[in-house]
Amino acid sequence: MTDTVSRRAFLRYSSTLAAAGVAAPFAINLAAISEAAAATATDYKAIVCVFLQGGNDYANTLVNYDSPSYNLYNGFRPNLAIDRAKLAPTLLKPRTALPDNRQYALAPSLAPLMPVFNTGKMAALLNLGTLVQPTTKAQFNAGAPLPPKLFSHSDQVSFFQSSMQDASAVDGWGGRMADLLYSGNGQSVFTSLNLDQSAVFLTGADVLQYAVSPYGAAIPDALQYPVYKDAMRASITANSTHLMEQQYSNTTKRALDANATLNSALANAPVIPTQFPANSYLSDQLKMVAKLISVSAALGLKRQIFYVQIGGFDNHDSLLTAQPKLLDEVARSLRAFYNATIALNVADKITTFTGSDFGRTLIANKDGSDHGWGSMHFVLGGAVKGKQFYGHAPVVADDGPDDVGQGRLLPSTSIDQFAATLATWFGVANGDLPYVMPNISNWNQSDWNLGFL
Amino acid sequence: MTTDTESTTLNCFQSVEQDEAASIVHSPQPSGGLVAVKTAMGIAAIGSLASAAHASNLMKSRRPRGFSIHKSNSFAQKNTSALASVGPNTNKDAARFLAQSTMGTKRSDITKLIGFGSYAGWITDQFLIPYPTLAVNSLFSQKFNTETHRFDSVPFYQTNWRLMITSSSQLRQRIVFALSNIFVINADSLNIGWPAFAAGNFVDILQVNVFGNFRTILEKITLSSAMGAYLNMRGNYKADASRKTEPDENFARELLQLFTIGLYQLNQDGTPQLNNGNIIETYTQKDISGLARVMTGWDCDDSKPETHRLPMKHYSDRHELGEKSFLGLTIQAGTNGPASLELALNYIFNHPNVGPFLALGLIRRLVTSNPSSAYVSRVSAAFNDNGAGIRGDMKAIINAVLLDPEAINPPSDNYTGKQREEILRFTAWARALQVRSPDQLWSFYIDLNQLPYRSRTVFNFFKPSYTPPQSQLASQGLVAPEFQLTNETNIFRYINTITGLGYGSIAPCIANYSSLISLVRDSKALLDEINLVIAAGQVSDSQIAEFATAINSLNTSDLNGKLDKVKAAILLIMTSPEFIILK
Repeated sequence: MTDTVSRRAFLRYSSTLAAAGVAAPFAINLAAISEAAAATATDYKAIVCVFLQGGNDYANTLVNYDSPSYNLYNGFRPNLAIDRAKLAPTLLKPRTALPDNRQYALAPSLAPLMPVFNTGKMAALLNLGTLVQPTTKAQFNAGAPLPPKLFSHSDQVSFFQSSMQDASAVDGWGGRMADLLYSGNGQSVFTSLNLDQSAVFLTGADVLQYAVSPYGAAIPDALQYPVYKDAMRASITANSTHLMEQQYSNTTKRALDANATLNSALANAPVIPTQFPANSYLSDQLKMVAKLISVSAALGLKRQIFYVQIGGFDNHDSLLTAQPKLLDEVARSLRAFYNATIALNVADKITTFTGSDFGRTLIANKDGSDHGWGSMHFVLGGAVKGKQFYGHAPVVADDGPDDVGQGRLLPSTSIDQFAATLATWFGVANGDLPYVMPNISNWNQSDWNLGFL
Repeated sequence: MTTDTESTTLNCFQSVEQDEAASIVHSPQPSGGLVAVKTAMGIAAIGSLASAAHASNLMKSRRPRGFSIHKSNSFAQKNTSALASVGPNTNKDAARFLAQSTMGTKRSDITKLIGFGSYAGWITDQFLIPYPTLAVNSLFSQKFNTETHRFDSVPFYQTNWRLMITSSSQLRQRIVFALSNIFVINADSLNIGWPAFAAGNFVDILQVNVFGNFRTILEKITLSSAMGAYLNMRGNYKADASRKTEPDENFARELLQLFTIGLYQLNQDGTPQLNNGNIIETYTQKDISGLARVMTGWDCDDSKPETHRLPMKHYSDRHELGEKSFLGLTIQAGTNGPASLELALNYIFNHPNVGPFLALGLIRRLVTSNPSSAYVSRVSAAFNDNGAGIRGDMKAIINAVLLDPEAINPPSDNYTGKQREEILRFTAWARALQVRSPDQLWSFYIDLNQLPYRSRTVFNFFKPSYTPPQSQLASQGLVAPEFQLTNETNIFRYINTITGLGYGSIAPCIANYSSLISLVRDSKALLDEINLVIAAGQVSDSQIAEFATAINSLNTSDLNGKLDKVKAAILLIMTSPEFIILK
């Protein structure tokens, strides 16, 4: 990395710690930042974010099952409630039962994930969401600081992935984790990989995301045509005084260099015996992630962050037909991906989690639900302390203690705590967590790690 | 290699004007009757972004995004009027203006504009050119109203290519395209019967009304079956205590956030209003809930294609008759659905944010990603009052955007301009080469990273505030929205797609290379011509010289060789960053 680039992370790093009022864990210099990472990065680890675009409906994802809660759920969304009898096969029996005899079942369409949960490799996060600081209903009502523009898709996607006050955040917590750890990587351009469209999650102050198509990293044929290939290459990578032209050619340069490297590595990738679901773009993305993981050693990589996504979760209508199809695709794709990590003998090195814009309302529209806030999420992988719930089961209500009206959940666990837990597993030192999640210092340090890894 | 279709094209030197001007019905737009009604628009003081309490968590280098409007440039405030009499001095001037105001340029378009003498004269003429055959009419005449197409959206995309590429009402098509990036629908995601007709009618609403009043457009899209299906106003019910349901908030929310006023209170120049240094939010969740109650009771019959031509129908038993309030407007209990909608849309239309919101949106779609505040202010002023006391006159806004001194004589900085969207790069090619569809069906698929009316979400292909991370643009606080689709995968996909254009990828449609073939012996002349007509003269002379050297060696002794050389020249120009960024 160049001095100019690393200076950026350095400046950000020191100002974060100062702002957060946290004593620096070591003398702040760049060498220390990267050495801390390199020292622990003797093995390989990867984090995979599976983003459910549109705001997944939480109430029909992790469904209240114990009779009192189910009856409340059924009472608040009679036209959207899943029959209780259909939930019995996916009733979750965690290692530690929830207080007050609360029980949850997976949506029936998530059944492919039951074996992963039951073998202790998957956990559920209860009422997880965007926050600035721990916030009670009373504090919410009294005007406590909140994430900007709650219930707005673009803003909440951005906040979920960045957890920074600025609604159009420039970088995200995946990228900031990578900032601290990428120096251990040989081909550091492949640290933060996007299988679909750009996501703020993957961008750091130093680390840039790199886009890889699920179908490979081909270099255009036109660039191999002898007559004009040199002229074309010179043109598409030309320097310019115009900032937009320069930006366009910078991206092209990166792609030309890195795709060649990636292609030669992928050409020697081992065959992964796992059957991935057909006709699924999410499955195609995850299959490529598995392939990329399989060549990580060849590329000298020790830490990687991946981002894949699936759209269609903004189910204002037809929730009962649309969401099960999507969740089925998610479940089968995640199951296949998990199986692939077993086949590659890296299951305990890969942690996969779900994210989404927000949860939705418990109260229905005609046949859908509206934009909400806190939600239910899953984390899976060989390192996960699974068959367990983390967080607090929210009271099923319309304007109750755990929701801000219509069953829009006021999160009881924050993305900051969730990310801090992942970051710690990934190798980020405790004292560096405020760099990854600037708001984490608003929580007691004893609450930083949720314990699922 | 030459395909059969290309050989056919070569024999066909006639002009390919396909605009169906004969079938036009001129649609007079009511532009009066919409004089701004003064309303007490309460401006709530709710700081959020960069609130003092959490400023400590913000990086020092961080700036609010999406408001990158530059305070100073070479055009002072005194330049308040558009350059009515200015015209192009060169072919390049003309081509550049047409790149901002059309879907692409034929050689004859450049000559025609120069003939007008002034840009304003050309625009006035364009205002008078009627819209081409309506999308819905063409879907009927091509028999897409048969049962096999009940859930088929593809015919819509096909007829839309016809509109974009062949219509001589090019200014109209370009503004329609710009508006389709603001009032977003995706024809593939319409949960409705006959989606091609629903989407076709949506485009027809835009193309018929685009030179009318913004208020009219707002109402017509609100009540269109396509928007109704896309954002769930269709079938929206009042709260129902027995079924425990609430009105759907989807359309109410996006109407405010994405179509009219945006998230933050704006000054006329597009900069955010501040209260003790804090940005001021335009609405709260309560306002959305309130407006959602207004938007109840509408539905459409999607059992037949023809009903998509009609506005959605109102069902009074589904409408919320209780008091409805949002943004400080209270609609009295007992007010029926259509009357409530009228009041609500009037109120939103008169919100002071609409001018700067739309001004910034259209400037970014047509001219430059980072306009000066003075430019935005001038366009807002035209929205607020067209000079005859009328608010929302689209003609006034279009004139203000395209004829502004900053658009005509761009400042000589290193960021003015915008990335051409991929759709516009493709239509630039298609218009220049007079692409036609012999069977009139336009039944090709093109593998672009952006396709018309196929945004994944209502948030469009890119956010207005997007800037590439860690770029010089970012460090200077500049935005470049279109770059959200620019990544290591997409840039190569684009190159492959442009390469494919020369080799029949949009068959059965065919391009006419004849005028370029005649230039093939002089590499520089060939490249200059392509640069002018497709690239608006944006590629530098030095780059053209490099390209000329590269293609000089190509053997042009036979027709295939000639065609290959033309296609190589086009490919080199269309992959050049100098073409991709329209300065």
